Order: sequence, then C-alpha cells, then structure tokens
Amino acid sequence: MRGLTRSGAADAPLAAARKRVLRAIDNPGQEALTGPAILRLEAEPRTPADESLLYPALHGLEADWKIEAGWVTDVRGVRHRTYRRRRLPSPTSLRPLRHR
Amino acid sequence: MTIDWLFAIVWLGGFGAFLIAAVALVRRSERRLSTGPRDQYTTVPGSDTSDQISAYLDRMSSELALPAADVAEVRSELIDHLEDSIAALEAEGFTHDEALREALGRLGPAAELGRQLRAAHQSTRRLLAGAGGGVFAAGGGFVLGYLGGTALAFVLVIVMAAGAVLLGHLGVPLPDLTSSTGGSVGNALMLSFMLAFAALFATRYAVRTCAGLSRRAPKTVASFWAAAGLILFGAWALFGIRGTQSWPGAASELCIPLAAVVGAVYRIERPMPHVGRWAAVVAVLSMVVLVGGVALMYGVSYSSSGSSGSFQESDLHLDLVAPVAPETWLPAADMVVISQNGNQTAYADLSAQLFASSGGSAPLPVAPVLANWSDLRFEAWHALPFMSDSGQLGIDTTYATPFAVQPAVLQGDSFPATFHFEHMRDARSWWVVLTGVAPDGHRYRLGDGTGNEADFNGSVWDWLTAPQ
Repeated sequence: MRGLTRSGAADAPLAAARKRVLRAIDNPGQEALTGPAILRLEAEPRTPADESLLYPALHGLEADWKIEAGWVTDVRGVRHRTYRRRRLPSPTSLRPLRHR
Repeated sequence: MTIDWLFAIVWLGGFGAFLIAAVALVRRSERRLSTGPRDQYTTVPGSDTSDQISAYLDRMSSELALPAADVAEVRSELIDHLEDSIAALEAEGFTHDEALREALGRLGPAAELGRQLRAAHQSTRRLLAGAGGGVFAAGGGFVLGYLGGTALAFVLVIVMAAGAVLLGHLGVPLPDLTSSTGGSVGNALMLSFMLAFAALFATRYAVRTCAGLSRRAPKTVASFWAAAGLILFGAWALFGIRGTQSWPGAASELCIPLAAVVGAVYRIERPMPHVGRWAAVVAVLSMVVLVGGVALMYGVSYSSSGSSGSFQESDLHLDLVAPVAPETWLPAADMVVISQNGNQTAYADLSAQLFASSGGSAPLPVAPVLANWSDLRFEAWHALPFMSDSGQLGIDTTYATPFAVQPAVLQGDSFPATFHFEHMRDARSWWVVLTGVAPDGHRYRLGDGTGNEADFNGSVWDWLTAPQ
C-alpha cells in the first residue's frame, strides 16, 4: 500500500510545514481558518511562505486527527474549507462547522 | 419450552444494532466514494483562466487516486485558494495573467502536489481504520447477503416448482427431488446459493467500506480483500461446512470462495445500489409471504428412515453373497441375527449374535456352535434403494463383490463391527452379511444380515479425499 512509509530526509520540509501550520492555527480565539488565512499567518514576519506544502501539511494533520476541517459558506454563497485544532467537542466549539 | 426473554431481547437487540451500525458504516463510505459535486473547472472551460486552472487541477487529480468525494473537495479547496491568491496578487499590481501564472507556480508542480496530497490522505491510521471497518462491514454484509440470498432462493424454489408442475403436465420426465438423494442435493445447492450470496455481499461491503475509510480507490484495496475472502471462505467451504455431501453439493460449496472474489473485484468502482426504507419493508413482507406459502405447500411432513425389517429370503438376492450355511455346521434351530445402531448420517454399529429360532430373547453361547468355522467376516454389499417406490429390497445384483469387508472378532457372545458408511462416497444403500468358511473349505453366509441407507456426512475435503 502506498503511503505506509515515508523517508525521513524527504519529509523534513513537510514536517517543518506541519509545525508552522500548527503554530499558525493555534490562535487565541480558536477560530476556524481557511488555507490562505493560515498561509498569511505563517508568512509573518518572514516572507514568502512555501505554498506548495501548505495543503499536504493541512490534509496530513487532518488525517492524523491533529486538526479538524469543515466547510463554511460566506455571505456571497461561496464555500470555504476551514481548519481548526481538534478539541474535545462542546456545543459552542462545533458551531462554525455546522455549515457543512 | 421456556424462553429466556431477557436473553432473547438482548441478543436480538444487539444483533439489530450490529446490522444497523454496519449498514450506517457502509453508507458513510458510499457517500465518500460517490461522485462529488462538479466544480466549475471540470466542465467545458469558458476562458483562458479556466483553461489553465482546469489543466492544472486535472494533472493534480490524476495523481490523487482518492475517493471521488475527496477529489472533489481537494479541487474545490484549491480553486478557492487560487482565486484568493490571484485576487491578492492583482491587488499588489500584477496583471491577471501574471497573477494566474504566479499563483499556480507557488503551488508547485501539479503532479507533485497530487502525490503529496495523496500521501497525506492515505495515512497508516486511516488504513488501519479501513481494515477494521472493512471487517465490521463484512460481518454486516454477510448477514444481509444471507437474508437476501434466502429470499432469492425461496423465489427460485417457487419458480422451479411451478415450472416442474408445468413440465409434469406436459409429460416431461423430471428427477425425483423428494427422494433422499434428491433432497440432500437440493438442500446443499440451496445452502450454497445462500452462502455464496452472503460471501459476495461480505467482500463487497468490506472493499467499499475499507476504501472509503482509508481514502483509497476501491480497486486498490480490492485485491487484498479478494485474497482474504478466497482464503477464509475457501477454508470454510472446504473444511467448515459439514453435512450430507454429493458431487453437485461439493461443487456448489466450492463456488462460495469464488463468489467472495467476484464480490470484491467485479465492477467494484461502481456504487452499490441504494436500498430505500420501503424497499426493505417490501422485501421483508415478501419474505414472510413466501415462507408462509412454502410452509402451506409442504404442509405434509415426510418421515423417512431406513428399514431393517425381516424379508423373504428370495426377495433379497442373498445367494449372490454366498450360499446359506449348511445345517451340518449351523443347526437350523439356531440363527445369527445382526442388529444395527446409528442413523443415516452416522456410522453403522453392527452386532451379530446367535439366537434360537424357537424363541427366547437371550443370545446363545456362540463359541461352541461356530467352533468349526474360520475366517468369519462382515461383508458390506450395495443394496437396492430402500426408499424407492418399486418395493424391491436386498442385494443390488449389478455388483459382484462387497464394497467393504471387516473381520468378525468374537467379543463375549457377539461379533461387533463398525462401518463408516457415512464417510464413503458411494455407499448409499447397503446390506451387511456375516460369512465364514466351513470345514469343507467353502464360504457360506450365516443369517440374512441387515441393511439401511447412508448419506455421506462430512466436509467437502472429506468428500474429495474419501476412499470411494
């Protein structure tokens, strides 16, 4: 099966990207963030951030149950995928994800 | 008969909960495997921007190899990202084309992004979840498949019965399915049909659920489940299913692992048909009506058992075995009686004892009477079918030799012997006679013996490796 093993050296940039994503997503308000928003948080104060590893890092963290994803619809009716730290579920913390 | 209601409720409730959970798991995976909503870049492009983004997404998608719903989600998310990125770059002063090229360039090569995303989705944790979920769903699929197979088998039986009645009226000769042999074969075929259906559903449920949970395309996990199904159902069909056997029955039981393989690989990418609530209700009601109809049709219960009564010697063709013992060495006042225990599907326990024909239930001492005899042995001969309508009984004259022989060894006042006719493929109707060599050097038979019918009882492996 593919995806069972990963070489350590080749995965070093991805591991670093995962750490950056986790740091960016750990915002005080625990808001659910879109990919571009996470990228902007990553990029400050250093620029530019590596966009090519953003989504592999996000999807990998979601597969490992480190973060959870959901879809929210904005006022224009456009759907955005958002991410947040996975926490024990509570009635208030799940509210933004109910727009799926 | 007392019913432990608490146990029954817990058992039925647990079983129902298991089935509901399994079906819910499968439906969840089905939603993930089903084709997701199309994004605006998968349809015919209308502008240069659409062309470039569409081409990029298509190259990326070709490397994803994820369930359809995941592919649709990834594409939708990347489109959202690209539109956001292009807008930000245009705000910085880039032209639209420059912003588009820059945004695509920052995401990196499409194929590499697709490979990275696939590796991210197909984690070991999800693979383990898929394996566990697949086993769970296989259990539910097996039960549902068995129920569906049973309903279908009943429908087939009724259709075949109607066809048989029609052909009977037209004078077409048909095999007697109410005979012991025909009934055993029919039962084995029906059971195999139901189990094959169950195996097919089990592996199909397993593959679809495993694929959905592990985020893999069904065909990538199908070979694993096909191999597992072939081994498990193959071992079960060969060694686990025990009962009366026949060549058609054994062949049909060996189709069960093949059905498991077919269920795992045949058109596995196609979604399973959705069975609505009302369809399930109608199926259950149909099943009840069918079972009731069959019960009414076969209201008369058949009682069949082997007979071992006393018959006229001339009917039994026993002279084919050996001539009757001369009175010189076996007084007419004495007779050797062979009694038997066991049933049609178990071994035959025989015991030969000497009785006085004038009466008396106590056996006579056999040693003094048979002192002149040597090489005493039990001979098992093929007999005419006991359950035929012809009324003919006794030795089957188409055979010239016994099909099984055992030496008779005196124990106390009897000669015990055990024949495992249930492990012989072509024993069927049998007749056992005690014979011995008299002082004149010729072999004679001592008494008329006894007979019965035997069905082969065991696994398919026992059947295939049986001595005859």
